[in-house]
Amino acid sequence: MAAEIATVERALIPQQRLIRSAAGVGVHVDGTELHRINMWLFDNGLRILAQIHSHPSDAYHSDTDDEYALATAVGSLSLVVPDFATGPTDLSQTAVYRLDKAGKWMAVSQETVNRLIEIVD
Amino acid sequence: MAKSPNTAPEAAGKKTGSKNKITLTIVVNGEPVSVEANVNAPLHTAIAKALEESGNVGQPPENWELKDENGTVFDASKKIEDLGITAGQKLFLSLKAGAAG
Repeated sequence: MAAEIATVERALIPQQRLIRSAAGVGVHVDGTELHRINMWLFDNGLRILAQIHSHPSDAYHSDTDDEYALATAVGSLSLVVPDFATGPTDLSQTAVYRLDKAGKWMAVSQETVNRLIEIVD
Repeated sequence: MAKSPNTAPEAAGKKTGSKNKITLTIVVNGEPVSVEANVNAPLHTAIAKALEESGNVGQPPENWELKDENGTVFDASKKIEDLGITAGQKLFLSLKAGAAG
């Protein structure tokens, strides 16, 4: 398949509620909000290309991230930013995963990240 | 969010030439997908097709729900013809919930 360029045009912040348990912290987005986002995407001719969230410390894809991701299409990206994103924007410190055809989130190497993602603004 | 061609969907419940077949247009994460379904089959069969054809493999079919524009959920276990889905109706397939952490 020829290389294609997709441009991120909007960042959506879904309505969400905090999850706090013995396993740590997280966020939950309910079905009503996901339905609203689906309609909004359709009305605006947009698709979900990637999702991004932060962790309190280390950046990695947790079991929750694997099982309940909002980005669900093959090729989607999931970015996890360490330290609650308090540091400067730095892709080298960001964990990047991509959804494969089998529905598994696979870690993307730094070299590939550098080819795959360009921050232009 | 990425820009894509915004083609207006066809009528959501368009009868095809084949008996008992209906073409549904189902919007998944903003993308309209045309799915041919048998009106005598349970709705979940059309949901699975829509996910497969749109490449949405990240979550299993049971984690999704099909709604109309008002957010009314269609019972996926019921036959399509019993759900009152009509031509021109937009159908939206969305996750029941999402999470991260």
